[in-house]
Amino acid sequence: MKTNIDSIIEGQKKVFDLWAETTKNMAGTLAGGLPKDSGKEYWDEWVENQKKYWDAIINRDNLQNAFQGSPDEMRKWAEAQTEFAKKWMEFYNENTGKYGFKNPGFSIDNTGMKSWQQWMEQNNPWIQQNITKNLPFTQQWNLLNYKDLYESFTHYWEYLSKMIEFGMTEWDAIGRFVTPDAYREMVGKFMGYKPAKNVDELIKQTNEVFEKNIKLFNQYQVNKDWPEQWSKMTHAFLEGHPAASYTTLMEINQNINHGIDKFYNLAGQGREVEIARILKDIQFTYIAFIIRSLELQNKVFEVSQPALSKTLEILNKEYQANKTAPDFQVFFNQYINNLEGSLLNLMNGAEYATLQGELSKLAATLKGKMDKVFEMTLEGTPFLMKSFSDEVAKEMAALRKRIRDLELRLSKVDHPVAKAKSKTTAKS
Amino acid sequence: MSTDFIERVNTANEAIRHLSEIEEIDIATAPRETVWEDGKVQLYHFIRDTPPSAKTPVLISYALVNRWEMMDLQPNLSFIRKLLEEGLDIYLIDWGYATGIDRYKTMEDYILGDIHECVEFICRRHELEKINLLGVCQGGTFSLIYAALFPELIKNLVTTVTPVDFREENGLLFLWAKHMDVDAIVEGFGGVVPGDFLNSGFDLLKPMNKARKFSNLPKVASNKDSLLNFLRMEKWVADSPAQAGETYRQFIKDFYQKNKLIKGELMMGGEKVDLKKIKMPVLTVYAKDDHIVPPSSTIPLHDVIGSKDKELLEFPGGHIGVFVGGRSQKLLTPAIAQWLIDRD
Repeated sequence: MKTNIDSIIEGQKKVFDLWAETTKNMAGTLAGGLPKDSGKEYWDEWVENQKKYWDAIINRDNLQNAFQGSPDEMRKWAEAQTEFAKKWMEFYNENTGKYGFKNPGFSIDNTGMKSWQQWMEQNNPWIQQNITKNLPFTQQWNLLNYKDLYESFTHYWEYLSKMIEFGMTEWDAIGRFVTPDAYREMVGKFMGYKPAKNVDELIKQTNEVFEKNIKLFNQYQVNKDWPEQWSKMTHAFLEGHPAASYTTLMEINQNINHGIDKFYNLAGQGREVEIARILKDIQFTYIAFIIRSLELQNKVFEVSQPALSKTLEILNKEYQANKTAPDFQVFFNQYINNLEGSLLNLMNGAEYATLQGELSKLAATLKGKMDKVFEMTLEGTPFLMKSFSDEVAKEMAALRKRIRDLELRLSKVDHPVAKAKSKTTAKS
Repeated sequence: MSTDFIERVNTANEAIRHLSEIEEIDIATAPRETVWEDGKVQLYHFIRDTPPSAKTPVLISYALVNRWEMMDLQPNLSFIRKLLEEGLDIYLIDWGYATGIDRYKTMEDYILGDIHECVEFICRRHELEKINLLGVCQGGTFSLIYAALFPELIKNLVTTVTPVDFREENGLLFLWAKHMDVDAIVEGFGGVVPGDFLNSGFDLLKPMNKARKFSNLPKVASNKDSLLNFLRMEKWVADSPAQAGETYRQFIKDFYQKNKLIKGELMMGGEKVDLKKIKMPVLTVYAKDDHIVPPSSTIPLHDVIGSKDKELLEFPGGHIGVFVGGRSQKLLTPAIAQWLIDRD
């Protein structure tokens, strides 16, 4: 009866046969051809080893259990694979080279697990799963984010390596292959930002919110210029000239918010009105957060572009000197060093610090308001609310202080060692 | 290319084997007992196999940011185990995890309350008038304040990677904190500032470190010890307690924004904190490549205390390297222990 392992080996044999046949046919078209049965000895040896090691773990019900339960056997199996791959590649290089084939449909580069990602995924998804499993929850996200990031860069590697080779280091040239939006997204991943490709979407959503509010506002004839001004701003955003607009956007946002706020005073008092007012505040705080967030992301993006150019320049010089194309990992390491340098320069300025401070304030304010709305919505239900526990915490703090004051006064009149000694004396 | 391929397959093989063998990522394994506690705060005494060679015990005051387990991440590179091995008797304050109920807990509560009670407890337990105090990072700042207010209870003071001068020129954290609206942040987070919020700030100090760390993962995973150390560090980094809002507010305002400690303007429990009142021997340890608490924020301590017996000790590494790693074991920890033993 055929086992799973037999099926695996049979499949691999078919691939090998196909490769051998193709190579033979191609070689046959040239003078000399390949020797008959080329590579057969490697194949036979490999099959033998495969069977031997797979038999040792055949009783396991699935691959993961096999990995977990038989690490030693798996290691031996992988070693056999390695040995075979080595011989295969040597054989391939030696024979096809003779007939002028460099990469006839089979690229060593593509199967060579050249990158981190290939190591993590193509070679053994099990490794990735088990590393992730052993990481704390918050760190798992970081690893997965990094995986996406790496994938994005490897996606563009073919172009980037050509740019290095041909000295295409200016953004006019780079941008034809790596679009600014795609690059913005990659840089955003380094920083843990929301994907920057959604910028347009965010602006559109924000625009809709504003248009609704502007309509409401216009009913009261406060400022008729705003809709036009707003429209210009959003167009500037979408046409890729956002920097000049951020401050104006913030001002408009604040003005509309304060203007609308007055109408809530007219609406009377009560829980519903208060909830409505906080919801309105959340809306405007969120818009402000998006504007500031975009401004900060834009600053990061601006300094990150020269970092890529600089990396390509450095590697191009090396390429010119030794005519050897760099490995992807060499590029990646060089790039993140350059990018970090540029970012730290930016972050070391008062402008960035102010913007970051404002952003963190907006984020915290947003959270505070949302908590408040939740609490108000749940008022009257049998849940312990934050504001109630706040009172308990205040009471506790006051008690803690009074006790400490008493203890300090006590310790000043009675040194701890003197107390200990007097207790010892009394006992004896 | 084939060599590359083979290397990578071998790396994968090793990773498979090591990951299969990992059952638990254990940290803080040095044996200890809880000898005093008050609410969430616990005082640990680390258990020795032999009597200590120094009669004065050492109380370690760690920062409120992150957890003390960093000093005992792995048995063979543990700062605490090494101090024990060098003959010291070690106590440590575990601040616990701040939650909503702690939102009004102040620096006075931590310093005049918890540290003071722990010092008194140890004095009583050992029938000593004074003990040694060793502060780590923010815990070092707390130790300085305590030593200035209660100099009669501290025999020797060791500060490690401790910020004292908070001028904005000292680094990114110092600059950023100047522009932070701490009131809005404390209120917005409901009085308890999450550890993740703080960690995101620390991450930005070296924004590409995560990429470097994960990029190096295949190599790390091919060695079981390296892989375990990597996972231990990840566990420690992720275990980041929230901050009691009032303490956080005070620390940002009075220290980072107004630099009150070094200016002699800080008030604690109604008393001015005068660093000149620190007259006991002081050892100031700083890390040459510290990007969190740079030497420029630590070294000025040397000039503002009243001690005649004072020493600066430079560690050739970064903020965490002071407590983790081979150089700490070989160079720093024995030097700290010897300094204390010489003054026992």
